[in-house]
Amino acid sequence: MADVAALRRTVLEILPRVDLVIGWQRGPDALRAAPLLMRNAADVDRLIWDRTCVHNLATFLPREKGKKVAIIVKGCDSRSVIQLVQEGLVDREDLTVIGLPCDGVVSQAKLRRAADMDRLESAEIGADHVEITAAGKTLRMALDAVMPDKCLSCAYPNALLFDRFVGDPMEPPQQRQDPYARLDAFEALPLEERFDFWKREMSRCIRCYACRNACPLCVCRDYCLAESRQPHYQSQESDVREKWFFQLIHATHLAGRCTECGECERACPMGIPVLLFKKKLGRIMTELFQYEAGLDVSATAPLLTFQAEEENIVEKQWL
Amino acid sequence: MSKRANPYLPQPGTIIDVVEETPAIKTFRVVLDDPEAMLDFRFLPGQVAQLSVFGAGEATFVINSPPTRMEYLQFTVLRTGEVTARLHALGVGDHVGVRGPLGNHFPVAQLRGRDLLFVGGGIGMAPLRTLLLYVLDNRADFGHLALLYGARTPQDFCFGEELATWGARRDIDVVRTVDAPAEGWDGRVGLVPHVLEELRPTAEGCTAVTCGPPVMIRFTVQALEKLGFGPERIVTTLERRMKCGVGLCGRCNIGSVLVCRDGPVFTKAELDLLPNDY
Amino acid sequence: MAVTQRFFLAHEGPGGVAAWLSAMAETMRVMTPVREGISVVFRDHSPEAPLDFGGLDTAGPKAAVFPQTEYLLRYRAERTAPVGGHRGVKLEEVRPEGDVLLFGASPCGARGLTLMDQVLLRDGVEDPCYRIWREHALVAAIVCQAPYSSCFCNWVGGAPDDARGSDLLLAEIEDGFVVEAVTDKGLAAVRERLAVATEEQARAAAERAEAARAALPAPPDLDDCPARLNAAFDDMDFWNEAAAGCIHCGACTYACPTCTCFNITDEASGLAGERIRTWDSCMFPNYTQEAGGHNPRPTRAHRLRNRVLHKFAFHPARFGEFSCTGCGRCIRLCPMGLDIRTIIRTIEPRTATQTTESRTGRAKEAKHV
Repeated sequence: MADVAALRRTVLEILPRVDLVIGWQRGPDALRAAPLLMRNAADVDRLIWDRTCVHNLATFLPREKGKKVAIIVKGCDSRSVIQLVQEGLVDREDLTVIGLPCDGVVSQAKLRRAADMDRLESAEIGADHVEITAAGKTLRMALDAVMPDKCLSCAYPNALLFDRFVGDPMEPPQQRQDPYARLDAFEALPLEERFDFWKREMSRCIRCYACRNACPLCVCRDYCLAESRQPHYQSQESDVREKWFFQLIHATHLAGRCTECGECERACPMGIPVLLFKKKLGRIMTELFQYEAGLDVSATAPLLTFQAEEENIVEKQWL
Repeated sequence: MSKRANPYLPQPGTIIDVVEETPAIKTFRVVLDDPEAMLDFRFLPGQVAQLSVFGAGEATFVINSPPTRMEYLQFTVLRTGEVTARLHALGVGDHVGVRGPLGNHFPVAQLRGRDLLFVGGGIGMAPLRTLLLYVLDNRADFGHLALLYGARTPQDFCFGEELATWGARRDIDVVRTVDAPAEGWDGRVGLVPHVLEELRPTAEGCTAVTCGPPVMIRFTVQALEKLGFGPERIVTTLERRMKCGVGLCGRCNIGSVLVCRDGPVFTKAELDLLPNDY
Repeated sequence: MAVTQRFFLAHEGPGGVAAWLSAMAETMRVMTPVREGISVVFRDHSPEAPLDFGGLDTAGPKAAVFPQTEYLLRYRAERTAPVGGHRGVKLEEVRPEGDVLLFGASPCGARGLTLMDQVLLRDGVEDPCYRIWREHALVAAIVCQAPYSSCFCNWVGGAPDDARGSDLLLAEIEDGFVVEAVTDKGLAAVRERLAVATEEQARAAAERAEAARAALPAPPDLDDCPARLNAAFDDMDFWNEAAAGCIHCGACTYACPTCTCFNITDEASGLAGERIRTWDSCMFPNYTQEAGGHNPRPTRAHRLRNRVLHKFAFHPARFGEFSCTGCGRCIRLCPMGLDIRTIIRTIEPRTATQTTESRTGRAKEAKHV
């Protein structure tokens, strides 16, 4: 990981030329961070950069449209920035991207499964391990065991789009997991089990829309189908059908745009694995169009354009 | 089943008349289906009710017919959202729901014996209408009456016929103004607060009641203060997105005040105690 | 005033948890906390499913008495009018039915019910559905043994063994729970069914509760918190910074055991439909969006400010106590790591010159972000 002093120096250098710089600060405990919007030099003292910096800060860019903004991004986050620029949702001229190399963050969800994170006393993150003391117990875990799946299959450890790069670019780490491993395991289950799984998972949903609001590419905001009354797409009833319906529309709107950053699932307060929907659509997009979102600012997402003859879509040859 | 009253339950009502006020504003006259409920419906000027279009929902409107005329309850509706669009599609004989009266009312007891200056803008004339008619129906109880009513264009005035009637009366001064010069318009031109300052009404012994879009209210209140109206002598109404209308849903708070229950009528003195959140 | 009665509910056996829950299930719906992944949620009790009492139920017990969707009334029209209205509308009130035992709530969640009562069961006007749920719900809370890092119940007058809002308060000891009957309703549920706790058991429970109280760090003095918050109302620099990481989702408000704001909508299907009451969140931009286009709280800073002041200034002004039980769910579940404790602890009024810029900047900020 790049060193935070170098990052702070870069931010201080850029700060006078922009309205704000978006980075991370320490959150409610030693293993949680929170976004930091830096407007003056004093704010930069609070900037952190470590494996707790999980948030994809690109989600703040459309909200700050019209301002001169600098943003700090990991490799995965930079793909969201590329996608936003590609779709014209943010202006490249207004944007200063500070790129970082990153070989993985830690997942609160995985940490929670392993340790009593609500009673965290202290934590130390080493080169290949995390040592946690919680509820009087000390636990040493391999870093790989508590990284989000996306880090285990990371192909882009360095920011792909940047104006300044802080630190030395990394070689892509060895892939420890197939990016679609979880989807494969899920799809191997019988239909009925899969249906029951989603019924149970979606029944926990509280319709708080943290998934939607954390998503850097979900930009309809207050015109969202979830709340729209004109047209009246969705009932406000909190039954599984409505919640699931929203997830499927959400995933469909993101097909070919979603970079599978996983913010939707990370943000879910009820621990619902909503990234699976996007993984499913993502794989279809890759198979049909050989397209990966968020790699090229000059590309066009497949579903935002068309070809008269699609290479991988078999026409029914109806006459 | 609970014996306590259900504050969410509307009373069924039927539209008996529809008046097209402007291209975007319609007035609906509603009679409750239960004749006893109609007799029991007691309110004071300024109180509101929730009108239901079943399937679309409810929206809050001032009851702009005065309590002194109970043949029907009148609501004037600007088409802006789901419920109002559906309301605009309704005609005579259609069924609606009425939940009310809700909220507080103009301080009629304190207004008695005083001169009154009504300052209205656009659809903000609706709450003023109920008070004005109430005052006219109890004319001897009040002093001098004046009305300044502004609209964007000559086509945007509500209650056109009544305006003509009031204008012809000797016991009330009526001034109308439009935002910009328009063909065939020989009345005043200018924004309400400006015209108000030109008219220089006397603050002495007078209470001003103003209602209109938030921006108009803000500048009208400033103009009134400049003219010497004290904060207790400026009365206005606040708009807020309401759902329950009875102080339960929490949506319409300004500080610890709930507009649906503690409002919508406030004096400037009361507004000065509220945080700047409206 | 009756002497507090304590009973004993064994972990296992004839006087045990499973037997008692089965007996209760004969006359009412029984809901118990179950772990699902990283969440703990209340589900219909199943004797096979292991109960999870270790910690805090993720979204609190609120939903048991204030369901996310409540059906207020059903309507049916005889026919559609020529232009798009309804003719011959019949209305039918809908009322919740049935008793429910909520077993294993957290004391902070249960205490939230008393704060919800202040809003929803006011003199004069009350929510009829909530009234029925409250009368028909039996809340059995379990005394906390060890606080979370996000806990701050003792800042706001609560405690790990707070009995307010509970009908039964259970304190776990070696081989079971000492059960305090807090209300008559609670007493009726245990009097005939459970053995009276021995003095020794009662003492052990009291010691555990005392230890749990002692485990909480000393609270800051929040007496002047409402005044400090009110004084800083117009300090938009402060609120902009506090809300910097906020994505205005509803996680904090929906998990909050005291948040009661709701929406009312109609859901139609042809000539018939329902009017429903659903949870709403003051963090959503639509919450204050007026039909005329004006939105008095256009930014997340405005909305966060209202949420914090509602709990720590506006509600206290009306009801004399904070509308917060210090459960920390908003801190635990915030996807962006926001911590309300930082705000209420650190907010200090700044001088006018420090805030002028933010006031003049208001119009610039006024868009839906």
